[in-house]
Amino acid sequence: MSGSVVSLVYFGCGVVGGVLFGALPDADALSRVILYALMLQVGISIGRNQNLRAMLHAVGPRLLLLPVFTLAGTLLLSAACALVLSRWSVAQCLAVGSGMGYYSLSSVLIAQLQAPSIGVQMASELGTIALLSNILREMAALCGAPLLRRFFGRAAPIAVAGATSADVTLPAIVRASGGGVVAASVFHGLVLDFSVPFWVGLFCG
Amino acid sequence: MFYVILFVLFGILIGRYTRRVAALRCINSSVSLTVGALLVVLGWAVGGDGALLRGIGRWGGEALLLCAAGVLGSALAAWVFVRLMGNGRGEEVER
Repeated sequence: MSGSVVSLVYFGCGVVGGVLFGALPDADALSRVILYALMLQVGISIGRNQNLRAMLHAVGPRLLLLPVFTLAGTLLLSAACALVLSRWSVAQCLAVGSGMGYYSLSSVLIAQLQAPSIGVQMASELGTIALLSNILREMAALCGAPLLRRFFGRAAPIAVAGATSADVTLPAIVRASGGGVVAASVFHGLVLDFSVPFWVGLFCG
Repeated sequence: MFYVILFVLFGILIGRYTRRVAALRCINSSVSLTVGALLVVLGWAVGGDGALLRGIGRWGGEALLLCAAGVLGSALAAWVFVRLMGNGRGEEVER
């Protein structure tokens, strides 16, 4: 739990910094550099693991279905949101849900693909909702991994992380579910990451 | 995304051949600090976008609901997955 609180404190410090001093110049480039540094360190951490071979064998054929379950569960409840959110159609709710935590790509895609049909302003609103929703999902995966592990089992932190289970949220997943899930988590993240443009395009089409 | 994978693979190679380098023992603490830096930048992007902050009242509720649907849907799907595929014990995920 202390890890979750520390993550929230980091995020809160960033929000306060942003409010007080304004947006960071070149924030995209900065976050990309930090992400690459993080990935290099995650790789080194995996490479130093003496049980690497056994870990790679852990991705059995049944684990290939985990991304399918994640996608199905996410889309099912996202579609149900259209019953409450009268402003948006089922397809638009599905488009936001199919971002799978990949907030940068999904928000831009939604804003661009929806503009011709619902207008630039509404498309921008939907894109912003996708951005917020998927940032919150990433935050939930980062901060809530221990709770997800406790209440829904070891695969839950991976599933909630969605497309980010291969990179940003991987350290939190490993801390919550153990080193044995690294290969499954990376595979899950890769499959969902590559599928985001397809699903967002389909539901915005 | 391809660069991300490349960095992970490059890191695995470095880690594989530097297992005896004592200086790299603190790599897990370093990972935690880097995740913290990423969270600060993410928070800064939210705090620094005036339109995003002003719209939180209007769009925030909708975003929160859609996020909750995604989190709950995927967590329940993972629970079902472990029950169906792991014979109720989730052994394949845990191995």
